[in-house]
Amino acid sequence: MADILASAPAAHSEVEHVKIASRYLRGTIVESLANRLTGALNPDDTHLIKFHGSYQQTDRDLESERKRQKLEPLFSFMIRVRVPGGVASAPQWQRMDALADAYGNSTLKLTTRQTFQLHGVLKRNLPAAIQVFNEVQLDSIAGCGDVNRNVMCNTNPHESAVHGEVVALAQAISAHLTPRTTAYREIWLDGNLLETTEAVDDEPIYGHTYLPRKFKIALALPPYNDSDIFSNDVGLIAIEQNGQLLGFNVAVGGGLGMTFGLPETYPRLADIIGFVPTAEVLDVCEKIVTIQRDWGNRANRKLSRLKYTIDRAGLPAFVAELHQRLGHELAPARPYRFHSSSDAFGWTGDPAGPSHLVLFVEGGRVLDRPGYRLKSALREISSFHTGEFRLTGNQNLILANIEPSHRARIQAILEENGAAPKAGQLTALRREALACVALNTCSQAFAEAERYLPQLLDKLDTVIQAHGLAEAGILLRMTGCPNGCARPYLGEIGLVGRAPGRYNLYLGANHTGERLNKLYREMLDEDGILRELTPLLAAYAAERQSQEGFGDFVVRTGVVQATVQGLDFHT
Amino acid sequence: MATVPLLPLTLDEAALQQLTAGLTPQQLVWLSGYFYGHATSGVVAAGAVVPAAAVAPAILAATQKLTILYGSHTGNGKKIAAQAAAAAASRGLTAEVHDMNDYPTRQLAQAQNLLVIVSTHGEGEPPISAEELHQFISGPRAPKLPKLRFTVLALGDKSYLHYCQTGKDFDQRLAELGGNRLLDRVDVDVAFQAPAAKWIEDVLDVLAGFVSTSPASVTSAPEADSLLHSFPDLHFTHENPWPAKVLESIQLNGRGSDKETYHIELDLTAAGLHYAPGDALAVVPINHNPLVEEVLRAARLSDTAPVQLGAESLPLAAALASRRELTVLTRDVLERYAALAPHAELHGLLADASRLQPYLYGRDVADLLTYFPTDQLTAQALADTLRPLPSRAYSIASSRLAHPDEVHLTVGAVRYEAHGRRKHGVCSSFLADRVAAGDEVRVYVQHNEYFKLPAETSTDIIMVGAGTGIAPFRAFVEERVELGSAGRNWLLFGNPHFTTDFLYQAEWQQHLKRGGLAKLDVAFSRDQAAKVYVQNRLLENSRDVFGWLENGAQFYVCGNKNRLGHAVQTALAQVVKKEAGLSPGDTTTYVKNLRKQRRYLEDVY
Repeated sequence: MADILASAPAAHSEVEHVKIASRYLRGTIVESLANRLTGALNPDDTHLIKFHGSYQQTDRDLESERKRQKLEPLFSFMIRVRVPGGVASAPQWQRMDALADAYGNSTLKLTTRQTFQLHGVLKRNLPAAIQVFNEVQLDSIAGCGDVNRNVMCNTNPHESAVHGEVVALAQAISAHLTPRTTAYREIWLDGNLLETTEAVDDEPIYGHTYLPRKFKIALALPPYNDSDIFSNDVGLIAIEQNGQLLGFNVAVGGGLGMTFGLPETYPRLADIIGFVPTAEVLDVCEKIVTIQRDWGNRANRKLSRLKYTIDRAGLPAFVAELHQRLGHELAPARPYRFHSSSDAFGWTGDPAGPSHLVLFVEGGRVLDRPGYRLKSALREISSFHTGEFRLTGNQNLILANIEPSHRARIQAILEENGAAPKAGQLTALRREALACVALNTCSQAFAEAERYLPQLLDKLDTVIQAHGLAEAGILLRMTGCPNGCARPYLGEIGLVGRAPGRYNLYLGANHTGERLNKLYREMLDEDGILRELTPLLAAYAAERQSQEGFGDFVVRTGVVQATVQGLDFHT
Repeated sequence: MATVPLLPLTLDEAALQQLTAGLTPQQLVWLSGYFYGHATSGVVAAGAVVPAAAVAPAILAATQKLTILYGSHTGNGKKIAAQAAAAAASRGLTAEVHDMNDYPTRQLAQAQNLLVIVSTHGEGEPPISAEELHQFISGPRAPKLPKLRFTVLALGDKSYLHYCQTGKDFDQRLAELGGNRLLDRVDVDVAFQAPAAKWIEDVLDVLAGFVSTSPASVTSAPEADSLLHSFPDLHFTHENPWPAKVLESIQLNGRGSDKETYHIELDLTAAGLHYAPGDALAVVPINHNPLVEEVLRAARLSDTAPVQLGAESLPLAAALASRRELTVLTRDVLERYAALAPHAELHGLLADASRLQPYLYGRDVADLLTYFPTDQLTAQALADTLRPLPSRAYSIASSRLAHPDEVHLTVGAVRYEAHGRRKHGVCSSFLADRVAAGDEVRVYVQHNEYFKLPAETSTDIIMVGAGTGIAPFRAFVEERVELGSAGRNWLLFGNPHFTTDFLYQAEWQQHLKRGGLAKLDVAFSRDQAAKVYVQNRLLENSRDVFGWLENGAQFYVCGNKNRLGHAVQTALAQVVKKEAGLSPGDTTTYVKNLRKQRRYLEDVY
């Protein structure tokens, strides 16, 4: 593989230099926190704090107003709290709920990677906030940054006896690939901010420059793919036989982000490269990480994800390197079949035993507003619920393992607070829609997403209902930029922000997360979106085949071409 | 005349005549202001600048018959002293004019004819420049003054309980020390010009009987004028303000703040109105119509009832709106009103100072008329009972070098609920709510003699400001940046919240980046459980504070007198005690010397 290494451009990107100089992710974060004159960090530290699970953001709504007021932008921080496998306890929920009020914007965002996000935390409150969730065994290290991020796992405890084993493996992978630097503890938890201990730091897997770019791992237990494993750098598909977990099919090279105007960037689905027994999964993940560490592009961050490393080297060369590092070859992949990447809303489980409630959370945003007090309801439930709070990859919430005696009480609390949608109240389109945060806090956003999507859905619902499609689950995903946080390229309808009020429209992904969509129209405003979608939805209602999804329909009828390979996305 | 040079400059009369030939009196006034502005902004090399007060003794040194001492914060005292000296000169009297701050106290024993012009601050305290002399005559070392003839002009503000207290103190003590009054003390309120001019004439009439005139020292009118014209903005006054166009009005506090602070930019193009950093701008406000209507309702008087104000006749509503103080209730108003409305409780209040002050606090004219109604009130009686509406002065927040033809203000809107009604500060709410870009605001400059940048641009400065107390420091830093001053600038600023109340934050960040500020420390009192103030930052930085002072730095404080002024003084004493290892007595002396040397300067209110 010497040619691969030799062909990599020599010049490191700016962020690589920051990492090199950071002394295992310390940089000057301590000094930045101590600076009372600004709500921001030193510029270099804004890169490093991502590794600690936080993004520096500004309130973009107030940008021009504050400039006129001779005030700096309203800087605040998003903190992404890892929840490996999405399983949180009631005490953990309580802490996060309280933190949102104490230091955040009084809301919790449940993300598409099964993490909690706090928004609007001021610089001076960062250590206190991190200390509070640390007390309930939650952390934010590697929530963002060029490392392995929160490990996802589909969250259907009732569906399979082996699910518990799969979640445990997700947690083990997370722990194994968590950075070993003591900087996180030193900066946020010890309060002893002056003493530096990097001399004893060592990163046996990452090395002191970490990865070239973010790295994502997700596990799924067929037939459910709500963790959308093909959008990850490493996807692991559990193979089960007679109630026994045998191992996992391994998929590599998924990733959805791209940049407008750069056709060498594209969303890509992971390729399945073989099967690995459960006991060897950690090792395989580690070896894939090290190949990316060594081969990934450190000169251009837009081309540094594993997907580009693989397409640059060629999949066979990548697999050969993996085999070499493992010391053996992977077994051939086993057969599997995904049915859905959606959440199955409502109550399930044995009426006599534990039951589970999959709860719709619009935009993943847990909040209180008049007539809809989801946050208050969940706070009350967390005071007695003995089961878990499970975050799904679709920004929803499962109240899992509810005691039989709590079932009626939980339902009543949700109803009292207007947080239990009645059957038929929401269209399937709305229940399954995803949106990223976008404006007003995300610095990447070109357009609205989470704040605007409900209004667009009000209008689309009219069309949907007029054509009798209220219960036709159509995956609609909206993001404010092309980076892919709400996995827009896996939406049967994908809307990606280009400019304020303008979106590119993508069509044709399928329901199981195994096919990408394709650009259909560019720069549409709301009227344009409705104008383009209305006839397609009408045709779908009239001409769809039995069980045919909207994405499959537009491909079958030639509206767009089917796209499986990332390299075909722009063609 | 021939032996004493008229001008401190190396210019002779002829050269000056040549320079100024053909200029109208108005142009001359403008020119004098132009040069004054240059001098106070330090453009002229420091050695060439001789303050007017230093000029006077040189002119009038021939005899030592008349001594004029002034002590005031705003420069009004100095103005009156200059006028008095000029008037004396025109009558052939030589006068020696001193700022009390610079007057050697021991000379008092030799004074023969003494005019004292002194203002009063806050709760009956002397202005800083008068502190030492006030203390001296009150103390055990005060000399007997049997040969002294004196009189006192006390400057004050009737809205304060201890009206003209310092003037009263001087008057009483000089008499106790054996002095004889030339004239009884005269107390003058905010509108001081006319009574002060009359006082000058009266006192000179009396003096004529005691003092011989010396033909050799007769000073001509132009010289007296030149002394006067060192205050170029005399032509803009409360009675004759400049209508300045509002260029911009910006709320400086971010959303969610409890504070409401406005940055107001005014156009001075063609005004010929000059100021230096540290000066204040007086704004002539107009009462809010709803308040005028409340007063009319409470008084049960017609808005159109004609009233006579001096020679002028106008409808009551108009008189109340623009000519009478409605938002602040003062003792003198209560006294006059009590004479019309014989309520026992009202008389009781006036007889008991301990109850009067709490009563006045937060009450306005409408409150008074509502709770003590009377049928005896006529429109004219009401107009005569109320005080003239004074202007409000704001420390100027801009440098003319950075913003030619503009003046900027930092105005905190005063609003509160009291005695069942919502109250608004007359001028701050006028500026905040009723003035928009394009409107005109009537203004004039009030010079602050003491709160000025160091004469040497290489001197370091430490600036401590809280809330709107930041205003003069914006002017200071802008000015020093424009001048390229070598002295370092250190700002310490405090307000409740970082995200919303860091006034001019972006500008300070830029100054810090570019060297306009060498140091910047901030204290946001309500951002954490324990309140933190600028004085805490002074203590945390005690080594640097002391080091800067030892290096000759000037120390400035601006903000609320009670909340900030005292706390900073205490903190500074602690700094000195800690860093210099001085005894409490020596610490007091050290800080006192800073004041005496005019290196500790306050603009507190």
